[in-house]
Amino acid sequence: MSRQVNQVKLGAEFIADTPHRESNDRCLWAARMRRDKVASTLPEWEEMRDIASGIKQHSLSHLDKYLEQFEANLTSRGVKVHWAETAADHNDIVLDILRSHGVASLTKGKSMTMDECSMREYLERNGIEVNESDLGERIQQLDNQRDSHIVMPAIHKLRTDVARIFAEKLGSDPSNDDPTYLNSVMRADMRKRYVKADAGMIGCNYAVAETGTIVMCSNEGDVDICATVPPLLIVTIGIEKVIPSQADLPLFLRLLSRSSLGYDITQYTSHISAPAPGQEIHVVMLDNGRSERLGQPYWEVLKCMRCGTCMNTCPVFRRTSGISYDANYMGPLGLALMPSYDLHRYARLPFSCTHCGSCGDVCPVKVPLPELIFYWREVVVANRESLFTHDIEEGVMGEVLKNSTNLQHAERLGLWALRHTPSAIAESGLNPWAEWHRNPIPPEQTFREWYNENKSNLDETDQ
Amino acid sequence: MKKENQTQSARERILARIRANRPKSQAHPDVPVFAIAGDPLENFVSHVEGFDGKIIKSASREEAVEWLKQNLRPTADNLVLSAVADFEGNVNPQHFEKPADAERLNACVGEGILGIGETGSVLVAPETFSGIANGLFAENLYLLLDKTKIVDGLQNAYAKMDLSKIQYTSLFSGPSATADIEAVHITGAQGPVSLTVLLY
Repeated sequence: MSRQVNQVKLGAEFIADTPHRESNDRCLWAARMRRDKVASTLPEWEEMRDIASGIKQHSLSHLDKYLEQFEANLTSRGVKVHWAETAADHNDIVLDILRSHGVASLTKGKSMTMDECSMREYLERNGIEVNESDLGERIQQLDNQRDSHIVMPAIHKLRTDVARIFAEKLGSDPSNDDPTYLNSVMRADMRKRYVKADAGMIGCNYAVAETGTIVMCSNEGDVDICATVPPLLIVTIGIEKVIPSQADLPLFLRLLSRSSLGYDITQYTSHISAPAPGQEIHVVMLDNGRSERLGQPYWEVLKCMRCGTCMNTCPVFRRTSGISYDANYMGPLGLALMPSYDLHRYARLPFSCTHCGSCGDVCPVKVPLPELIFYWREVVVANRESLFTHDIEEGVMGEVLKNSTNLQHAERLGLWALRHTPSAIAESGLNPWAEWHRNPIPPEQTFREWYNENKSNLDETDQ
Repeated sequence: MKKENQTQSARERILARIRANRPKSQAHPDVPVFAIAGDPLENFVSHVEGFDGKIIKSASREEAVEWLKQNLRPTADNLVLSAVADFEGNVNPQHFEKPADAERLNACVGEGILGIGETGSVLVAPETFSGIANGLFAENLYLLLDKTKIVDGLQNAYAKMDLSKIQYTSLFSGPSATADIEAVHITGAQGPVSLTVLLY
């Protein structure tokens, strides 16, 4: 049985590292603030979120039809389309293609879907040189560490960390941690790798069924180089990425980069509908549980377009970093998705949430993240995968919130306990909450009692 | 390929599971074309500059080309590839053995297909640069653009495209950039370090 991820413990380690915590929080919150600013310039923003959610729901409810249409269009132009049921199948298909073309080295754009398959590690074990072309992803590859964010993979690191890694692995000046210098080191190193690459690999942001088009959104220019320079291109696409038509695409593009980083668009928004002369393109459509998720109560998580805004806004994520989730998908998305990959391993993740609801408020396609996180808590407890304290919490709260009478009794009991439990017990190690908090001064009465006493006065004031 | 039979059946199994599990049919919502506030040309200029691009305004195409002649000056140390007929570079892409040979280009000149006010994007295709690798590898990129080809927004731009007819197209919005190290914005990631749009 897989080891359970203890996000609380890993998060506490990151929190204790003040410079990293502060930098992570500052960078992500800045992205969230930029998102708010650009969204506020578009009066149609909320309407667009509704429409985008509706298009995704429509696509997923007709997914078979759109996948067949996408495949037929690409195939008619000479693209070879493969279907992978599992991550292992995906990796085998990719390795087969690479071996049959004698590929020794390749450059690869950032793709969470390929990471989901642990593809890079698999190819490297099989003797293929894989060069990550996205700066953040390359940093993580060289440091042999998972991504900490789906859009900014190394955002939890400081420039000093990058200087050390590049000095060790790329021979740069260890004393120079200027990000501009470090970027130039990456640029020079990757140029050599692009020139010798036998193949390129990329992910896909949107797969347009009507036109058979692969759409990629990126900033560094690396994805387009990977996609167009080598003679062989392999594209991995999660089957949920398909959208019906070309007319739908700009609506998603208007939401994506603004949500993700707070900019109007990515530097490169690129479309491939056919191979270039002399080029061969293979597309691998990945299921890996998606077709099963489609029939589950949490199917709306498949609407996600991987913008990362739920992570930027999450108060837990910003302080604990994506590394603490030890998962391919982290933050609120990870809480709502990872238990479906391995319930035991990720059973504690749905409890790493303060219920602030912000992730649901900012999601550009209205994935109901807070509701899905609650859903997974119930599943975890029902499957006895929870911690003892979670069982008590869920069991007690289930009874308390069952009806207003129970809640009323619980309020009185809570107030009594607050008044009479000695702090030596209430603030002892039995209560993990007390490690960082002190009990409040007990009020004279519960809010309900106060409200009932003052209700008539309040009504008069309102009138 | 040896996996062919296996993937063929994988395809059928995946589609069968989707048909068994797909949610209740939901209608495609209407997608209105949203109006973009402001003048498209002014929006375009401010967005290109916002993405660290440069704008050169000219009264005519001839004037724009003259600017290129005055400022680019191809030499043995300044390799310039031009994909437009009225400006001559010193690199012939037909002499390239492979696309990656473009890696040594100092500059590349092309003609944008259309511009977008909402985002400051310029639509380009492989023909724009006599091969897309030239537009991705060149250190400095110069795009001529007829200002009457600037549309209001992304939705207006896609209404003018037919993605089923293209091999590759891209919306270039400023030079390549990254913010992957402590979110410090750096222009000139792995593609062009600069992008200049010459409006005429």
